[in-house]
Amino acid sequence: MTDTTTNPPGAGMGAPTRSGDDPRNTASKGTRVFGILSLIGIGWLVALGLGLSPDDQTQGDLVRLMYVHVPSAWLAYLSFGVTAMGSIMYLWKRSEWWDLVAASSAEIGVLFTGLALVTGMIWGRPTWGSYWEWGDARLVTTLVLFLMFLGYLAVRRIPADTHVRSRRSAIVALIAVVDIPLVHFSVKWWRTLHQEATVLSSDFDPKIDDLMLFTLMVGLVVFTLVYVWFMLHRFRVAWLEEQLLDHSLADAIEARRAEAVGTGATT
Amino acid sequence: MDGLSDPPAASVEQIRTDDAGGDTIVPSERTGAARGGVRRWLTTALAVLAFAAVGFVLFKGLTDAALFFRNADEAVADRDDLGESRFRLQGLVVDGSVEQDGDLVLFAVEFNDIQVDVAHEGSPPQLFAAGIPVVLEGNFVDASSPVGVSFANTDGTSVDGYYFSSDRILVKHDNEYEEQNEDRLDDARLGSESS
Repeated sequence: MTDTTTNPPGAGMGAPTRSGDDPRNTASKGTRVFGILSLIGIGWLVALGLGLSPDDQTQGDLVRLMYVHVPSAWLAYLSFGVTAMGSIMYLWKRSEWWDLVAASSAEIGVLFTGLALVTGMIWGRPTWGSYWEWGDARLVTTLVLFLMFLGYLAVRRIPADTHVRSRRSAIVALIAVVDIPLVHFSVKWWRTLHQEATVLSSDFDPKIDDLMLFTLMVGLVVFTLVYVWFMLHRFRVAWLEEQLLDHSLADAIEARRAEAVGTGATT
Repeated sequence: MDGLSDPPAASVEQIRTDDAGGDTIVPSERTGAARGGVRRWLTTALAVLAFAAVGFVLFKGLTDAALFFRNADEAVADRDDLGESRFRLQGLVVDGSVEQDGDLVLFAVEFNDIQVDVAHEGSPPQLFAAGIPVVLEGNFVDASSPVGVSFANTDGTSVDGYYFSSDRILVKHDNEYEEQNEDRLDDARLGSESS
């Protein structure tokens, strides 16, 4: 996912050159603000996470993986939560706008769920002594979440009428999102190797060093900014795709008409 | 991104002008249906595959998730039923019990005041230490048969004539994070708690 603050190829043809005014550009003042804040935040998170925050008593440097792993998992919840909300709103309002919100958020969610799984495996190997444990409910339910939303994205690719696709995928999303509480409470409901929540602990008394907690919070905020930034761009791309689809269909019909008329004239 | 390019392309394929009039537009039955059919079949198969994978993962993962491990006290209580079958044992590594004996690491784990002696074959993971909760994979062994393992180090706690023969240690670190050497008093407190 790249920042598309520059004009896409071909956008210059007769279009306003000031990118902010170009309806075919996904950047705006808002996305630039979020982009700049995200980048500054990432810099800050790197400094805190890799430098200023202390080593853990038992884990040493390995604890630093937390500042990527936990925010990634948080974005998985957030993204798929938004997907579920978009799906409900679509089923209620029947507006393509909500369907595209759901789809865009699901893509970002799959990305960060994958990141949570990978960083978790990297963390698990040196701490637990294992990349993966099939018996661990937290690990398995998270993998299920990842696969179900991959399935959701696959369902969206099945050729169908726009509204058929939207309804179908909204239902799939609402089935898949049921897994989120399973993921979150798996560490309570089952015996797991994965530790229980630190910040959202049941007694709301996190047993964590202050600077570590602060770094983790910065991570959560920065990742949320990145999510909003990605989301704005991804949604606008999806919106433009929809419009392009309509336009290109109309253009194609127009072109064929013209062609047919042309050939008809020469013969 | 595929969604951007493919459907319009397919639509263009499907739009054919008939030879006579040139003005009417009819979808091409043959090419359109064939292409759409293959694509549709492929994506449907992919979706089915994804959900089948989910089912497989759920089955494989959660069948034994309910009893991912047994705590030391439960394992001792169920020892007759367990026999020599393999299971996961969870407990806190008892302070001062860890000892290297050739290829074996000998130590004891405890949970709810019940201790189990452990003989582990292989090298334990990086974070393995006294006072840390671990999950072990292995089975109970009747220590009264001649096995050549002595647990004299664990203050004579091969009490009941059994030990747990482990070949895999998973370190179950908790959800507490503390600055290294922040406070010696804390270390002392933790040490006294776990002993």
